[in-house]
Amino acid sequence: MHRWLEAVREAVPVSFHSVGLSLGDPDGVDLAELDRLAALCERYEPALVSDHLSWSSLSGEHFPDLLPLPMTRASLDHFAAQVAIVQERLGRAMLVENPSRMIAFAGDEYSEEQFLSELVRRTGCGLILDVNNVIVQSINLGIDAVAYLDAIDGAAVGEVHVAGHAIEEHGKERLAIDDHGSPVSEECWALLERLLARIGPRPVLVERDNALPAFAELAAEAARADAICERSLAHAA
Amino acid sequence: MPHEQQHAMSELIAKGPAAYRDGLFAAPRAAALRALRAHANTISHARYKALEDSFPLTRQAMGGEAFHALAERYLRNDAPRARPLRLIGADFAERIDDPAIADLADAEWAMLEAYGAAEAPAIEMQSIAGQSPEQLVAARVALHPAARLVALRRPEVFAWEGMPATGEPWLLVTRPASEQRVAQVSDAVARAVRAARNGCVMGELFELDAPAVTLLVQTGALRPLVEGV
Repeated sequence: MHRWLEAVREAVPVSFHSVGLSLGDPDGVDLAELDRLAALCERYEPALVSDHLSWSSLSGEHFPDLLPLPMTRASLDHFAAQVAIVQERLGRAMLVENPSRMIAFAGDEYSEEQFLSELVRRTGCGLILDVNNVIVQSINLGIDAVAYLDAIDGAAVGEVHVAGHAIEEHGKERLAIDDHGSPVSEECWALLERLLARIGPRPVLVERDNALPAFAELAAEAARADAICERSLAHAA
Repeated sequence: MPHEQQHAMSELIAKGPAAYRDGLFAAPRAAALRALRAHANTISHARYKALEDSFPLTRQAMGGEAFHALAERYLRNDAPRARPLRLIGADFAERIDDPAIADLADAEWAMLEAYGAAEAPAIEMQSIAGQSPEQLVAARVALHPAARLVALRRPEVFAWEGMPATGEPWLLVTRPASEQRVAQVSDAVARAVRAARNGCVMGELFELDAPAVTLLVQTGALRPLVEGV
């Protein structure tokens, strides 16, 4: 495993995208996992390190999923404290990714974009902005995807993700699932163009790890993302 | 309290609609239950897939249906659910009734552990070729971090592709570099492996069994404790 990673790291900068810290666990971040991540970071010096605005463990049980957090002051206090622990251990700022929520808790005190903005202000962390996750939430929670993206401070965004999603039809209602198994949607490409025109180019990850198509299709999606980045550079100039 | 909301959500994921309570989510009941079912499916599928990916040969030997039934029973226990996915199958072999298939599962798990173990230089034949006997005997060594020793339940029937079947009671899995090696080994080799776990001088291993030391070096099961050995 390390041989492959070393070869990649020698060729290009790498971005470590963790799914294992469980920053939203009420008992606190998984410190053993954090030690392993720190050791990896010391060895490979990645350009970016990130995890998610979510929780994946509770009372000692692991849930291999990224579960939604309540958007409350108490939740923000706890989450910010965990991000601070991670950043202290890694000796650098991390990025936190917006989730693809299928459900929201009652009694939320912040919108998600407010929650993320406050998290950035308190901890100095950056953000991964997953455009598809915003679309998924616009379907599941009825948020305005354009307004969400426009509300995010571009200076905080260190990386952008794009992907497709699956849709379950339930009569008149729909459930969008961030399955990483579909082509990037046209809506997602349009929102990426709009976002990068505003904030300038960023590293863009095309997420596809299920139902992989022919390599040429993946390469075409990557090329399309590159072209959007180049156009955003022209805007910035 | 936000933590209570998370506990209530985890209970719903585990128990389904019977645990639903009004006022927890912003969405109507039906929409909330759809989302929770999607999370529950993601979690159970990921756990099962992790087991399948960890034990492809075991699954093949058991048959898909029997493997699935055993996996379902196994995943109802607290211990595997308390582990991250990469460790979820740590004691799966112990739940397999057929001792020969349990050996296969132990071997697959040892291969996974060896694959994910820390990198370290191994002592190989060419690296000790120029050593005098005195230097060799005094060389400090330890077990290579990727080396794993498995006690076989049915050594007489154990088979692994590309490995000569010897009927010996132990399986030694090593990964001195990128390539994994598997060898069915004797009690003497197993004793030497255990002796090397906490570090020793090569002379102590020779006193146990000289041919065993040769095999440990041939398989890349030892690492130097001092540079240049």
